[in-house]
Amino acid sequence: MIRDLPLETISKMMRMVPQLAALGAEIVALEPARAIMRLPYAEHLVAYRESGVLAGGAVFTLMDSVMGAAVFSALDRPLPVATLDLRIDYLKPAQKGVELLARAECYRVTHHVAFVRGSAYHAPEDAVAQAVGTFIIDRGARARGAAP
Amino acid sequence: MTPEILARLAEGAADEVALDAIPYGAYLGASLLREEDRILLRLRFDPGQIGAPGRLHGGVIGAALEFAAMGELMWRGLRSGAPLAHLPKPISLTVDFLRGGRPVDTYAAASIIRRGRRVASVRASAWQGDAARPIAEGLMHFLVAGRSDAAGA
Repeated sequence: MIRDLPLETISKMMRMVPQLAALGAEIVALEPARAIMRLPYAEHLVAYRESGVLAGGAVFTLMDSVMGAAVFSALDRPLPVATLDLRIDYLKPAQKGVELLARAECYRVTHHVAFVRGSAYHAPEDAVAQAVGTFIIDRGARARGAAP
Repeated sequence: MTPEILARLAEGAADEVALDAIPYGAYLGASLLREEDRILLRLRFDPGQIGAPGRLHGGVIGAALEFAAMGELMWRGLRSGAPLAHLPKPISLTVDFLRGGRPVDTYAAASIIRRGRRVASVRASAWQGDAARPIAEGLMHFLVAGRSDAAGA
């Protein structure tokens, strides 16, 4: 596990990911193979102006990010990871004006592939979306501060 | 993605319309293009779309696939004389990432596998430059009519 990388360092790396900075998404908690992120509510992330419901794509991006972070934190050293596939089920609309949280768990890591599941929610037991995915671990790459 | 902007494409009043009706679409720089009788989605590259160094964030690609599928459903509805009353609501989305997305414009197109009374199943592909070399493919299901008791955005 990458215990030598404190949350502060990871947070900093994540803030340097342009898309996450653009969304205002940030890491809230990180432990080996698990991650939690938050996405503040914003008008420009909405699908329907009338209802203010977050666009599916914004939720998808949050899930991809938190799942990538969980994979990253499951590795024994920092390596680039890339999403191979990701399935998301949109269980219910995300509430207008409320930040969205997402958590992910990397439940198996092989040499090249990591398996992850996660959910997005306003309250932990009340999921808005559920996701499962696989990520490729780029073992050939030199650690270059690659964020998920 | 209101019927109006698709109507403009259908009438030939425009070749490309911005997805300004969807705030997240506007934010991502998405537009719909008409290419004969099909609809293409274009995502104008912006440095804010980057995830890993030099690569588009996977979420941005997922959004492109979703928008392309929604555009195709709206377009087919319009062309078949049965326009959708609302934006299709995504139920689920599965994306296979095939190649890294480069920092350039991304295109996506969708085809409807089945359009039922309530549910539509759609396949979409995203590429940059060469459509024969997709960067991602997606399969998704939408609620297209009836009560909105499930599904998110």
